[in-house]
Amino acid sequence: MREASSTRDPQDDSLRDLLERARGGSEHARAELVGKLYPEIHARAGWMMQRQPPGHTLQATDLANEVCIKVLASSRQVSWLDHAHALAVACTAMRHVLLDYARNRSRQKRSHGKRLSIDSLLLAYEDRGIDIVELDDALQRFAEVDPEIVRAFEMRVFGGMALEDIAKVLNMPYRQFQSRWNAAKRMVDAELTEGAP
Amino acid sequence: MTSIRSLRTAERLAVYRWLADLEGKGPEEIAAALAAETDEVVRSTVLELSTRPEPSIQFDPLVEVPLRLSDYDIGEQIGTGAMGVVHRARHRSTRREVAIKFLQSHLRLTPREQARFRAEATQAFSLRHPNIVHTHSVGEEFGVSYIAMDLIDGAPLSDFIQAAAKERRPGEPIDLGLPSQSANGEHQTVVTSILIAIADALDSAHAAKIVHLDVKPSNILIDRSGRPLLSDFGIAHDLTRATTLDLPAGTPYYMSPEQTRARRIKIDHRADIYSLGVVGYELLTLTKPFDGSTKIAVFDAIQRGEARPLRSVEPSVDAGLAAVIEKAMRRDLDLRYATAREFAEDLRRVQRGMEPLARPVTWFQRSAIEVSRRRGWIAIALGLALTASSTLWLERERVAHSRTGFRFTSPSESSVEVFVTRLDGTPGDPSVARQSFGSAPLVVALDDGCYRFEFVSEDRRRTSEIPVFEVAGIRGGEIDIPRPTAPEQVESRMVVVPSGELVNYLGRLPIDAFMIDRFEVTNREYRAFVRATGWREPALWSWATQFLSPEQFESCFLDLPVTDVSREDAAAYAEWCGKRLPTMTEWLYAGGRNLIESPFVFPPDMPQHERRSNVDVVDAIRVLLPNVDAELQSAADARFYLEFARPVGSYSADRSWSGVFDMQGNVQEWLAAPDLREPAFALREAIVAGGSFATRWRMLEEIGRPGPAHETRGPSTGFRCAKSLPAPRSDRAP
Repeated sequence: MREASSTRDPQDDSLRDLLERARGGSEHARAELVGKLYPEIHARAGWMMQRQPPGHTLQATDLANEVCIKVLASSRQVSWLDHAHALAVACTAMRHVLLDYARNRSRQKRSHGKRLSIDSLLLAYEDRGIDIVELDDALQRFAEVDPEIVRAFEMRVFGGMALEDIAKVLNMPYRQFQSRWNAAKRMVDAELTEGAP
Repeated sequence: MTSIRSLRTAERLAVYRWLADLEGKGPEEIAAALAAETDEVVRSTVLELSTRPEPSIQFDPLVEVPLRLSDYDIGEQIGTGAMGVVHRARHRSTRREVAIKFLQSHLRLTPREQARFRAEATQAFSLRHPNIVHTHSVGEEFGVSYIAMDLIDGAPLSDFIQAAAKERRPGEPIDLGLPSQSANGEHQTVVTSILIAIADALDSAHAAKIVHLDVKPSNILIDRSGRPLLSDFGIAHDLTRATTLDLPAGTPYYMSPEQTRARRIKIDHRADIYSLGVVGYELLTLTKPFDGSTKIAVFDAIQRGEARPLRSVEPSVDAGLAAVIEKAMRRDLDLRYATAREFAEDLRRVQRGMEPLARPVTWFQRSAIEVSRRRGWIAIALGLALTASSTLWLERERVAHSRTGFRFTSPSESSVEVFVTRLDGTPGDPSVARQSFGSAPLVVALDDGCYRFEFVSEDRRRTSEIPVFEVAGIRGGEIDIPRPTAPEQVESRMVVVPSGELVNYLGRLPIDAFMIDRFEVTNREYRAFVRATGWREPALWSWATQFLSPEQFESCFLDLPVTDVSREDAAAYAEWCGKRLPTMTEWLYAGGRNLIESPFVFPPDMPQHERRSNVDVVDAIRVLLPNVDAELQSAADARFYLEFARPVGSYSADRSWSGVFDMQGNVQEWLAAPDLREPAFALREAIVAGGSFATRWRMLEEIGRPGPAHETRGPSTGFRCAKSLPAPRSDRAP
């Protein structure tokens, strides 16, 4: 729906203010922040599920909820710079939500019917050749090589952020970032596809 | 190759540095650079990894949405589609809010495609229409292709359809729940106005030589005032092409048959007309005409063209509106509306309560014959056997029963004079003929029999007609008077041809106003005559009853033009219904006023492929079988006719300036015996006019006008009637 709900002016500085105040401990600011970030994360998660077979109606709500909670929980420790940074944090949170879920998948599948949406999201990742648990292992190992690029993976894989924006968040020249990103992709890809050691 | 996991950290770091340095370099450069590496493990790993093709895991998202573009700040997502996502955005310098669509990364165009795309899109930018979403710019930044367009505060039509389908209870009327002004009307009225708006939008685009090629409910936005807007103009065209290559994106339900074909054939604006027809079908029934579990299955269904008749899905839909939608959705391009304007005009007729030009699709048209029409005669037998589907939905509207006699109801306030002619009794029976009808309802008692009703407005400028009305066992009911229309609007079965001059090689010939049948006389009309008078049946009918089931005969055959009649038969029919055969000059004049500049219905400069009618549809002219008995020849003739004749009025392009159909194609027509008062020239002997499905184009162009004298009956010769205009009312003392 092209509704005019929750309009956020892209140049609005209030988000940053809000983040600052949320970090400062304002409950009101936190609640407002949830409302502001929610649609975006929701939409991004929803988009990732687009490749599902037709006929499946997927709810990204559960996931986005959990992501928002994690974002806010971490907002005390993390330095929020701007919108891109906020998203980057959300992506890290998303990685952990998905990982938690993937690790406990078989147990939760039996007990919680409504968890189906995250299942579907994991399937959407599998469809792209990504196993969340294996990816996490690979990223942890890669953190020894280049921790910044691990953050790029989070932003790219879990948030669908544009390369340009990621480079900005990482404060890296675009060209340099691009070659590092491509090199890292080659290595992580090779590691994930080369089978058990 | 050494496993990456088994590498020591220092080695992995070295590999990573090399890879980042060598990114984007060619194999020779890589080999040369790597010569400096002393660690053999690192060197071989880098060589292996750097020469690999694309990663097999898709780390990158399907669509990249940057938070800023050089001209725009990007806001929240407001929609998703098969081609990408739509975000709200603001132009940085003008502060204007727009919607930006980011395309899926695999839709990224090559530089050459981009240039062409930009050229086409730029052309589309100039499109200004109240029902078109204006496109501002297309661009590519950081490898992301995007399109900026008007931000519409509203929702796509597909959302309303979905919601209405969810909420509807069986038996209840459909409610789309559109905002404000459009919400009050009945569902059909709402749908008609949406379709008109989009058809108008398409027409203006087509006039600018821009086709859309992806008309579907999700591309039609409804804004807060209820106004429908067509979006993605000049964009979809290239993208559909891009997407058909690997078959991922796009919904197939609205594609025209020609778009679903594997072989690339030329696709033109008529694909848009088709797709809009499908949108109309879905709006009226909340179901898709063609469905299937897979894309291929949907394509298959579209190509077979087996949509359920609209009114069998949703019987409450107005017959005229259904006919219009189904005409737009015809599989055969030539049978669709030739232009979006014609489509819109016919919808407007429905909106005003008039009869549209579109005729209901008949069994023949639904059957396999359309496809097989160039494949020879064997196919027809097959087609007949295969499609014995029920077509009774086409049953003519029955008159509602009542016991109080037949009551005429007028669509307008103004006074209408009704002429009732008993066709099978004494002509001009004074008890029923000529009754004036003012604002009070007129009720007449009618015995069993055949009648013709004519309606003439008080000022005598507007007429309408019910050509044959059969009363059998019913003693009363409502008869809706077809809205009498001005001659140029031509809604009734007869057309008033205004007086004027016929310009021919011998000079200018003054013509008095007269009336002429809009369509060739049909088998149905002729059957009424045969039943009423016991006149001989065309021999072809006995073949038709052998080849067709009774349902097929009723619902389809009877709408074809009558043929296999002699001139004497034609004249007898005309006399029976109080008409006459047209004279040569009348016929010519109804077809074209200036025979020198424009010898025939179609302008002479019109390319042949645009002259749509069923002329020259046969690869071989009627085959005269040598040395066979007459019986076999007439059977062959009957099949020939069944395959190639079309229900009258099927081709809107084959319509003359005066609104008369099928003068050029379908069947040739008998004319009145030459009138010696008509100025001579070669026409004196000519008693058959026009072309037919068996006429070759070349022949038609050579004669340029009615064919030579032709005294025999045949499978491609029929007729239409004419009539002198009633004298002005003042001369008509009761």
